[in-house]
Amino acid sequence: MVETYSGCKPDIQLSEIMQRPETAYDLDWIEHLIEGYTELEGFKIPIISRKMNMKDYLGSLMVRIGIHRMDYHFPPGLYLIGEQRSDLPVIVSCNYKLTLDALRTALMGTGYWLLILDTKGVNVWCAAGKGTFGTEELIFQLTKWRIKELLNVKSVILPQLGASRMTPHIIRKLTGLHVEYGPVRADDLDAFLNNNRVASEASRTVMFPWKERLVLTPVEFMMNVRYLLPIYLFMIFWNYINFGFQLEFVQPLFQTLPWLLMMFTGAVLFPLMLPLLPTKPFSTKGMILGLPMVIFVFAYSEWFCLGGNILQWLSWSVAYLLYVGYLALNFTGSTTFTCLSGVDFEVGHFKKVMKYGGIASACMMALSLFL
Amino acid sequence: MYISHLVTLNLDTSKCVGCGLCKIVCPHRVFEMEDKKAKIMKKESCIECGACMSNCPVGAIDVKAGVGCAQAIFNGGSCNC
Repeated sequence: MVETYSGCKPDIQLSEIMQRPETAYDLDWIEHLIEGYTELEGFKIPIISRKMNMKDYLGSLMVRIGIHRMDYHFPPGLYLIGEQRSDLPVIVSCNYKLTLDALRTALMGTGYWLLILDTKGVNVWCAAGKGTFGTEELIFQLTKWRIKELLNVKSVILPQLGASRMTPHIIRKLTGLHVEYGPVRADDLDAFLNNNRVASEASRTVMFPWKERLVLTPVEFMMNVRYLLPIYLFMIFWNYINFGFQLEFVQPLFQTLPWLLMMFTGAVLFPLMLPLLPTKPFSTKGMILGLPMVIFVFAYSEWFCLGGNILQWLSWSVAYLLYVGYLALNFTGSTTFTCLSGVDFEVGHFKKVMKYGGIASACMMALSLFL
Repeated sequence: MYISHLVTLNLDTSKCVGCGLCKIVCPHRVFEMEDKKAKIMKKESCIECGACMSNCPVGAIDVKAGVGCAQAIFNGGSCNC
């Protein structure tokens, strides 16, 4: 069943929202970001640095290759960037540190209040899709920190990509605060603020250029590398059955290489070449990209110790193409332009392709062992 | 751009009060304002994120909103990230 969203409960009460449990986060590991504290009506508010240091760069690199990707978070709450003044804007964001780094290094003005929501360490757009960057969490933090009274503001600025689970009229009803939507990218936030909080069309449009696709490829690849060991173990078994019941460990290593090549094709090449590939479904784009790789593998089959049985080549070819198609289909979650209905349709069809293709591949392999 | 003929986006112009929020929040600029009412200009670009529906104060927009992520669908509705 596909999870869909139909909107925030229109009669939701503040008391319901304020009962939500809070997650405790450790502030110690981000101590290096804190330049000092400011006090406001009894609240001690950390002042966040705008500079990146080696710890931040290293953390970013680790997350980009999939290490600590799910716990790169910091405490939600109120922070200050720059100098405290009476008329500072309130910027709302998520508690994914990579987002905080992008935000704090982009803001060059005198000062900003930063209200961080608890999105469990997930970026704004994904958190909005999951509901954690949403109406209830925003109302919770605005009320907990008494933002309207404490900072004497009439509105808060949300990132545009956080809009999908926000209901401004409910937020206004329960907190008295208006919601304004800033641009998509943190880099355009100062221009937005300096232009009477009016964003250009370009700054409101989501793009997905090759550089943004490229930074996703390490984690896409690393998430699949773990399957190389089970694949290698399977190739030891296949090699044993296929080549006279002799236990071999070196040949299966070479037989695993085509799977590594397909993994690279699906997880790295596919994102980079996405706009150039024909057809609309990601799985067919992936399989089209995989085809020359499959031809390469069998043109140089002796490198990969795959033998000379044509039926087996066909069986492996189907398996390789299904694998690349599956990896390509998984990239829908990382793109900025796939619609739920389209992905649902494509997954429904590709499940059948995987099922019948898998059966065909297995039958051809079984037949080849007896012929 | 994608398999966009299945997009479920609908706008009831009779309910629209012309606030313009749908135009502001849409990441793919699907809406424009015409004669003080919203209008769907690029339905094929809609990714069904639901931002327009969520922000509309009068419920004029309907869409089957969710995350366009194959992994979430394979997992039965929710992704693990």
